[in-house]
Amino acid sequence: MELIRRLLINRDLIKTIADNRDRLYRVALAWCGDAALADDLVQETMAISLQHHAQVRNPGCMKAWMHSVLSNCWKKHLRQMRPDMDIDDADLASDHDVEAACSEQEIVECVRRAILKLPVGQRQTLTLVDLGGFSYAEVADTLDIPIGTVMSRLYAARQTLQKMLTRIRSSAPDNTRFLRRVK
Amino acid sequence: MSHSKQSNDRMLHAYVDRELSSDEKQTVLSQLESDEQWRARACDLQRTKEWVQFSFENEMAPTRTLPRINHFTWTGRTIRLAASVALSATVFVAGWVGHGLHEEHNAQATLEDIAPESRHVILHIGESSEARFAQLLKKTEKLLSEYSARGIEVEVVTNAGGIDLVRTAASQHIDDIKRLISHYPNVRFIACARGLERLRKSGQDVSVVDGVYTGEAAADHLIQRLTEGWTLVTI
Repeated sequence: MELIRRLLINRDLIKTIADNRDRLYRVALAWCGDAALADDLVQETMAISLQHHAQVRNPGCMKAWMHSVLSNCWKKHLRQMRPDMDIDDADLASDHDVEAACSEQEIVECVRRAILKLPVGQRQTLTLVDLGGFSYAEVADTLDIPIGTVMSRLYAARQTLQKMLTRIRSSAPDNTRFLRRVK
Repeated sequence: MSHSKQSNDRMLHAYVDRELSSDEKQTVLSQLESDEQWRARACDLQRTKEWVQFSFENEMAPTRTLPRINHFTWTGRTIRLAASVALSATVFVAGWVGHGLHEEHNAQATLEDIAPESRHVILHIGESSEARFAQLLKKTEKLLSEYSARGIEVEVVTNAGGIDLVRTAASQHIDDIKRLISHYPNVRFIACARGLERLRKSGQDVSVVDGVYTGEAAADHLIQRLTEGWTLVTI
C-alpha cells in the first residue's frame, strides 16, 4: 500500500509540475525578456522538479518550490553571463528607451521593457507577486530574503513602473480631448 | 518623499496585493473614503499591477512536453549491463493499473492497449510462473520486432517471484533472454535489487543471466519510469 500511496502522490505532483508550466514561463519571460531563454529556463526548471520533487513533502508547496528552482536557474544563467556581479542589484536591461514610441497599442511592450530595466531583485519580486500570484511571505521564502526586503523591492519596482506609465500617458497623443475652445 | 507618505504607499501596496489583515484593511478603506489623494494612488497602483499582469497574460510556454529525465542511452556498455528481468511489486502494479494482476485477460488487454505512439514500454512480472514467463518473452519479442523501426525501447522488470525468470539457477529461458539481449539493442532486463538481496539472505543462488541489470529496486525504478512517461504493462 505504501507503494500505491507513493505512486498516487507522484502522479499528483507530476500533474502539478505540468500545470505550472505557463505560469513559470510568464515569470521567466518577464525576468529575461527572451522567449527562447525563458523556454529553456522553464524546461530546466521542470527537469529539476521532476528529478527532485520528492524533496517537497507538501504538494501545496510545489508551486513556490518550482519558482525557487526557476530563480536558481535564472541566477545560474546570470552568473554564467557575468560571474562577478551582484545579482540582486544587477540591472541587465537593454538600452531600449522605454518611453520611445509608446502608443496605446504599444503599452504592453513598454511595460515589458520597463520591467526588464528594473534591477533583477526588484524584477523577480514584482513578477512573483503580480504574475506568480504569490504572497509576500511566499516570495520571501522563494527568493530567500526577508519579507521587509520583498516589500521595499516591490515598492521601488512599482514606483519606477508608475513613473514610466505616467510619462507614457502624458507623451501619448491625446485622442480623448475633442473639445476646443470656441468663441 | 516623506517617510509618512512612503509608509502610506506601502500600506496601499499591501492593500492591492491583498496582504492586509481585516483591521488594516478597514483602516485603509476608511482612509480611501475620505482622502482623494489616497484613492488616486490606490487606483494608480492597481492599474500598474494590472498592466503587468495584462502584459503577460497571453503568454504560453512554447514547449509543451515534459523533459525526459535520466534518458537511457543504448550504448554498447549499457547494453552489456542491461539484461533480463526482475519484476516489481505486484501490489504496486495492481494498484496503478487499477485491476487484478493475475487475470490473463487483463494482461492481454493491457498490452494491446499500448498506444501506437508509445516508444517506451515496461513489461513487469512479479510472479514465478512458467506460463507467464513464456508469455512475457513472447510479448517482449513481439514489441521489439514490430516496433523497433519507430525506436521503441523496452524494459522487462522483474521482482519477487518474477526474478526466477532471470536467475540462472531457476530460469528455463536463459538462452531466450541472451538471444533477445544480443539481437535487440533496445531491450533491457532488470532484476529487483531488494528481491535479490532477500533471496541471497535466504541462502539461494542469486546469479542472473549475463547482462541483467541488478542495481536498483524494482519499485523505485518503476516509479522513476512512470514519472518519465513510460507505458507499464503487467504480465
